[in-house]
Amino acid sequence: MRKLFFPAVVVTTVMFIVVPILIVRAPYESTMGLVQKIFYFHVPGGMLLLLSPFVCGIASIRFLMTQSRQADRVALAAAELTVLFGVLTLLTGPLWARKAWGVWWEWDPRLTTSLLTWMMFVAYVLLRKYGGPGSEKLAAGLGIFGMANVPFVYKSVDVWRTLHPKTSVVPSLPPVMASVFWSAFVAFCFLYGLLLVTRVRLERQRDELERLYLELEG
Amino acid sequence: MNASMSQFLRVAWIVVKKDLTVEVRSREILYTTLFFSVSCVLVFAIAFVRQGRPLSDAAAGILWVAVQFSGTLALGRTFERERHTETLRALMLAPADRPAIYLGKLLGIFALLSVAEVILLPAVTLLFRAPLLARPLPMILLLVSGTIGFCAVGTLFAAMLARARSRDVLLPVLLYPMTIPVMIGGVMGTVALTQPEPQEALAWFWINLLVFWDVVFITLSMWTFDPLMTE
Amino acid sequence: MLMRTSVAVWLLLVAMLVVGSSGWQAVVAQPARQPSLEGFVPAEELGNAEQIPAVPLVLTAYGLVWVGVLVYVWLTWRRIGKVETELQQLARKTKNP
Repeated sequence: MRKLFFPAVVVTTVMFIVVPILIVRAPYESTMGLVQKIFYFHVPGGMLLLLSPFVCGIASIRFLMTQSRQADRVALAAAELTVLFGVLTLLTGPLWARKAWGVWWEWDPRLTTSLLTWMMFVAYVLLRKYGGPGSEKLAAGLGIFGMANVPFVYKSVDVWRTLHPKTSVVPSLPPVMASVFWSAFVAFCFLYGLLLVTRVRLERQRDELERLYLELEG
Repeated sequence: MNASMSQFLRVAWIVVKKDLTVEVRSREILYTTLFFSVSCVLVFAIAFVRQGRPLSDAAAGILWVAVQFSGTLALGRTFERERHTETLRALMLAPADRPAIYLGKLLGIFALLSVAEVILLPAVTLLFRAPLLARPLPMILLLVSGTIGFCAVGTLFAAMLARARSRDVLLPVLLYPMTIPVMIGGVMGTVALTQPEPQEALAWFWINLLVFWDVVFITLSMWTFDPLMTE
Repeated sequence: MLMRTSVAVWLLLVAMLVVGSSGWQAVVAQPARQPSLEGFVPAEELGNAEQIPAVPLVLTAYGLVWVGVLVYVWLTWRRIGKVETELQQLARKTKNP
């Protein structure tokens, strides 16, 4: 794992150099024009925002079943990254909407689902920070429930009207746009993976520190 | 019905009976929750009824916000009492099925909130001139399924938070985002029923969604209650 | 370990800054043209009658993503640094009490 960390940083760096150039060279969209370029980083961010709860939820299930500390660290890291990618998606989205729809915000399924998922994981992070000892179990419960809630939130808001471009836009992209989009997505995935590994390692070192302190006292 | 199943239900029933006995003696949570929910509705009435005319469709939202607020109050208080008298620890040490204990607590809180709703429903109907009881069956089913959904998650979180630091703040912080689908379902279903032309089919859709949500989240809670409550 | 992590993080930061500044100038550059059938349709050229200027919106969105990621990386890096220093201090303390 550690041997792969440094090459992964290099790959991510290269991707983050290449992808913006690709985005700049990608063709303009006919009705939305330049502003549609937000799509190339807004959508990958949004996809990770909705995938990350599943990383957190599955890690939480593993933690509850096996008591593995590592699984708990992964869950915490994934929750924190959900918050980060949520911030990115929720900030870039309105900028696009302002131009494309004329409003900053709309209570549309995808927007509302993203906002609520983000809120659930902000609650998770708050709990980890202020819950005190023993809160990691409660947090695991929250992670599992948060994951299970994502489809419900989506379905319930979906019955309201839909304004957001459908997810079917992604498979129907013209080849040039699709290649740019998928390279941006892969770049974001690499970034996510790197941040996750780094964050997990930070948590492991914190545990190590705590263990050493306990040893020193005991 | 096999032996383990009846044992399970017996434990759940004992927990419900214990909670209700304590409550009937003091009536502390019942009275405070009732008073709180009615004052909530009054505050909303002052804010949203102008010159005798309520905002359109406000009643549905206010009903559910009042349910959610008073539910949070009741949940917090129930487990605070358990913690104070160390009975939660005793319950957990008892040689009983943990999921049965969860189910018992859930039913106890549900019963309490149902009583509050019996008062809330006419209060909102009167103050907001909303035809909440025009279609009684779907309305009651909406309230029942929504309240069960709220209590299902609320009981689990309140039980776990009973041991955590700053639990008073954390309960609503965790509970409100988590129960948003319940709120959407309840409010939208109620709005569909209070239209001049009630849209019953839409209300039934929301009832179905709420029941589905209840089943998934009660199953999840029963499954996670045991590992989550182990110290 | 901290050495290597910090080198890696710096590399990432520098690359992001370079790319950020190059993207800034290039964002209004001439696009390649490509025909398409459905979904988002590439335009032959931008219409002049745009009511809301798109350039500031795109640049802000782009900038926000960089700033967000950079702030997170910086915060994580700082937290790692703090824990590592504390670990070293503790190791010294346990060696010669």
